[in-house]
Amino acid sequence: MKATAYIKSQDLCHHCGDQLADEAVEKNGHHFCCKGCSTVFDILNRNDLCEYYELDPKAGINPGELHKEKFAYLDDERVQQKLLSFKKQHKAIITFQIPQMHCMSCIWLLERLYRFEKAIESSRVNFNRKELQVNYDPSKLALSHLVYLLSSLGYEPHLSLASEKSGKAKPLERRLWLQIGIAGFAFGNIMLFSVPEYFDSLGQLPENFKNSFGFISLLLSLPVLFFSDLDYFKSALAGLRKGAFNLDFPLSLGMISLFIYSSYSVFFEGGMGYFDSFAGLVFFLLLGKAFQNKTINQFSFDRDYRSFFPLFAIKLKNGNQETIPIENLKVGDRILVQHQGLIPSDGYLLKGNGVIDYSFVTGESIPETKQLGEVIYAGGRQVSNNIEIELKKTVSNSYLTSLWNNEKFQKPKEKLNRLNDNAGRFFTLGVVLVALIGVLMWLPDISASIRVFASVLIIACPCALALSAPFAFGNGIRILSRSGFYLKNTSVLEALSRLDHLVFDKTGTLTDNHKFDINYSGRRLNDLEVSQVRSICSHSSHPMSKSIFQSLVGQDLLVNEFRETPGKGIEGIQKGDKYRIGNWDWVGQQEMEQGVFVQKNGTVIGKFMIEGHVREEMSRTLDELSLNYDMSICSGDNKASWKKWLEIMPSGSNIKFDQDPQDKAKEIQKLQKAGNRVCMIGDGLNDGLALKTADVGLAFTEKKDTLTPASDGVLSGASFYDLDKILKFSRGCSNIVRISFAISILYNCIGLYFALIGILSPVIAAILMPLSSITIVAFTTGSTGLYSRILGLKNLISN
Amino acid sequence: MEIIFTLIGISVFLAIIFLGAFIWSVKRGQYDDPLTPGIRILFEDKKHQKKSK
Repeated sequence: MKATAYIKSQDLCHHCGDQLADEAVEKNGHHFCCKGCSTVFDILNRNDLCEYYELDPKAGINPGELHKEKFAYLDDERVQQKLLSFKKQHKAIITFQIPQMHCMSCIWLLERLYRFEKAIESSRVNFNRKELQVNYDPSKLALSHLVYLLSSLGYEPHLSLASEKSGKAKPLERRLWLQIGIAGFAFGNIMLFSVPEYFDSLGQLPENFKNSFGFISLLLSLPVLFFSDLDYFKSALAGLRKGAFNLDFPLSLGMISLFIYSSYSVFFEGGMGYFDSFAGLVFFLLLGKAFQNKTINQFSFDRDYRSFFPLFAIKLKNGNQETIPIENLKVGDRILVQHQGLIPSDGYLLKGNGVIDYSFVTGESIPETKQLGEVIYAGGRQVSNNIEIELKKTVSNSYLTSLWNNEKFQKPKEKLNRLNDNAGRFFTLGVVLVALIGVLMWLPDISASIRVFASVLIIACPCALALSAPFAFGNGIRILSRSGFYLKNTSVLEALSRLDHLVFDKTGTLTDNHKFDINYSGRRLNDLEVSQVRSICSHSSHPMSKSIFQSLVGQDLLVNEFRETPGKGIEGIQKGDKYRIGNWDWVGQQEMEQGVFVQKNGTVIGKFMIEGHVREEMSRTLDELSLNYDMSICSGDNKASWKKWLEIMPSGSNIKFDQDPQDKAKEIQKLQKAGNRVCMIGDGLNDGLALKTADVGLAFTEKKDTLTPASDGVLSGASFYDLDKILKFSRGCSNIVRISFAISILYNCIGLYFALIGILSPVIAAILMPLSSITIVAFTTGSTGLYSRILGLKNLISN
Repeated sequence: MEIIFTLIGISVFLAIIFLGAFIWSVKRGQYDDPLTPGIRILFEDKKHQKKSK
């Protein structure tokens, strides 16, 4: 079943689908956006693997800049010990985390690595966990080459401290499978024995058959009692210890009553008991749990700060380079940080041009220049050439780490399952009350009283009630992930429905980090000057120069003596005019002032104000949201553009500038103390603390390569503008759960009628329970699906 | 009619063998990744020089 080949228009890269810009390359009749993409195409073509493009129209990934030396440290013995799960002389196994894989083609290609290198024996993908396990011959292929191969195809593995834990599926998941299997086995087989009872044919069989079937049912139920239902008992006890009755308490009560009363019936009354209902109950509940836990996510929500750090650093000692794990770095060590390398800990700049990009940490998109001797903080990325740093803190003590681990901002864990807990409390009370009433009704007759008491407990077992939330929210999460909105688990969806205040980060979230708005102020430039400025800027690869270049229209003129001083500016001579374009001090201004100044022949003639472009449709989205929520912006930037934001944000919003990570988190705590339920939306590590503190923390990301900070959910570019609909949907899901509670209570009342009158036979129990469960499942999944269609939520299924 | 108990015994015994097989496959890790094998099956491998194995 092949997908039809996707025809790319002339304006898109044949490989990755991005728009073609100036660096476009043409080869073999195809156009590519950059050399990297055309190289991937070459590699695939040479190995006859172009089917890659046919399996999925959005297959290709831009590999980005690659440097072979980046992976050299992987050949170190100690490094390999940490990463490889198995190593012998001719066989090694390693499991990579590859977050970029997103479609069928990815799986197809990654499992055919053996076609590129003979030394690769086989490779296997686990798509849910985004893992690739490679089996290769280490004596013929170096690990660094293997990783380089993957990177050159666009699938650079994510190697970090946190990735050491990848590999086996957690034993918890397996345990659930086993519990379901055993409960299902017991349920099916017990039902076979109950069939004669259902059809009232037991009278036609010899006397002792009924009791014997009962015994067999009892035996089959034993593994269910002692294994499959254990988690419900544990949860009920845990709830009791905290003094609360959660929903698992009446559930456990029901299960135990079912088993005890049925055993009593088999041993002392010659009956068959209700074992079919018992096993069935456990089976359905476990299915609900499995549905709720099903991970459809591409994202890992548990990243802590260590995921962003490399595993190893290059230590310099006596002129030699030594690769050591970053946990072993000590104060006073001198390390080498290469181009595009991450700074692992706070230190002093000793040698080289320090130009550090802190965008992920502080949200500032413009790199900072550091002087020799200045302190450079962990988390930044070096964007100039190699530098040497002497460490003043160990990795675990750096400012970034201490921020992350700050005790004051840990989120309290008990925010989950409000609906279920409330239902549990109400239900337990109701059940005990009704059971007592039943006993009182039949009191003179002791055996009838006991039977009624047990019947009430049995039929009141809130199976359907317990299925409402898992299925409604579970389906809700599935629907939302089809719209590009990914949540960690069902409790987050419930928390979303209770919000009343939204806090936005500005840089990178409300504004685009890669697009800039440019305004020029100063003396008007004539055509020649415009072309001159433009031509000079074209020689620089700095994002600001590029923005200016793209915003001006003019001719390409020849420039002499072009020079770029990182962190300051650029200069050049065109037809005798000497220009300097850059910072305030680069052009000789006395006072510090924002902007990119233009100096011609010694005089400053004007300046460009370059700001992050506010995302399209932002106003409309924010206005819609403000109808139902209070809004705030917290930004790390300064007040320069304050007025502009006043206009964009809906009236009455709270705008705060100059916020560092702790300020943001404190602001959220302030709102929470005032009784609000706050949602934080941010994108970088600088928002990480705030994301953890808020009731719901949403990380915003454009890319599929998902280095998002720890959050409860991920907003993608596609889903951001639907935030209003998404929040409406979450409120709708909560309401659907409440309605479904009402329906299941109705079933319970019908059952209670039979119980109180004393005619609750196993047949009736066996009918009511599956009937109510199926009704609830159908209702919740149906109505959540319907509601999503009514709201018009997008459906962007990619895989 | 008492023969039915022998029959029950045999059928339960068979059923337990299958349950055992299920438990074995879960412990072996066959249920760890329910998604990818389904996709993998749909790939067609054109005739290329096969690796000798």
